Amino acid sequence: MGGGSPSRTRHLITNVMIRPAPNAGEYEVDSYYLVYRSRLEREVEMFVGTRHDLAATS
Amino acid sequence: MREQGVRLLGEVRGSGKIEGHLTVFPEFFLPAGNPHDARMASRGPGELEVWAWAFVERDAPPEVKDSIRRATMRTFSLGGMFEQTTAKNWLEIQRVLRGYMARQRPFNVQMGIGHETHDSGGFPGKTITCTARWRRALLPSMGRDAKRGGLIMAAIAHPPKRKRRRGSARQPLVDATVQRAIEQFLYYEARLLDDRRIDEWYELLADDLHYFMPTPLQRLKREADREFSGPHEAALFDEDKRSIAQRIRRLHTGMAWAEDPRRAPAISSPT
Repeated sequence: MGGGSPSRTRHLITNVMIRPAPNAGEYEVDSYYLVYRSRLEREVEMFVGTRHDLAATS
Repeated sequence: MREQGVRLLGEVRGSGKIEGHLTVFPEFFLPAGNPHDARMASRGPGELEVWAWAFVERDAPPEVKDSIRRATMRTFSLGGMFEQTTAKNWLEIQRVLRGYMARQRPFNVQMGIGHETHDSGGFPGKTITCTARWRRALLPSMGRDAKRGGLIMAAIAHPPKRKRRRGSARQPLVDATVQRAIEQFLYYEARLLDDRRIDEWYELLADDLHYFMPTPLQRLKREADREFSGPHEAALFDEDKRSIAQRIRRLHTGMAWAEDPRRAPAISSPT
């Protein structure tokens, strides 16, 4: 065990699929993510999932 | 509610004046500071599982129930801002206890055994009352050293703002410029988080943000539509912009221990 330090992370984003939403200028966005997180000497975690967003262009 | 409690349980137990956490030995407890919350931890040697419940009054209006649900999720359930730190501590304590030095020493699970009383102080049966000495000892040391906070738990960056749309992955048909702009935005957001520029990340959030990550449930194939928790059930995250701001403020307090410990945790020395 070492001293404390914040996590080191890398967010990887792929499979971005976009289609128009009902309102003009808005889009439904799906993406996949993989978050690799390491902390201290050997603590490693991964979070994988799908994210849905409603995007609006300004 | 209080009158009802006093009628059912008597003055001491029903009046809501009990301070401290109630433990049903060895592993079930009701944190008194948050009456909506109870836990149990058990999964066999070396394994720990925590269940958190939120209690609501049966007759409470739906909006009150929903507000209690959200408050519990945002604080003391899996994605809760306090539970993040607590869970990390428990994991590290478990790891330390497997070390050589820790295994040479007896572990005190006495919990006040030998000091119990019977039918005393308004409590029926065998009870043990512990004083709040630890609290007085600990509290003065908190609140100093407002250091720079760490990074918020990584998973928080990803909840959707819309409700789940299963099986809706159609071929996208948008202009390449739009596609590129949106992808670049996602990459930029990821980069800000990886660089721990969390305040800048926060500035990107929409004011009407609904930041929702459902709980995955183990279901049979025919129950696939129940694979994820619904809008009024326990979610991993169910946040708005304001609650995310609270999480970030907490990281900046210097007391988000999991991400920014004050000092090295207990050291289990090598053999």
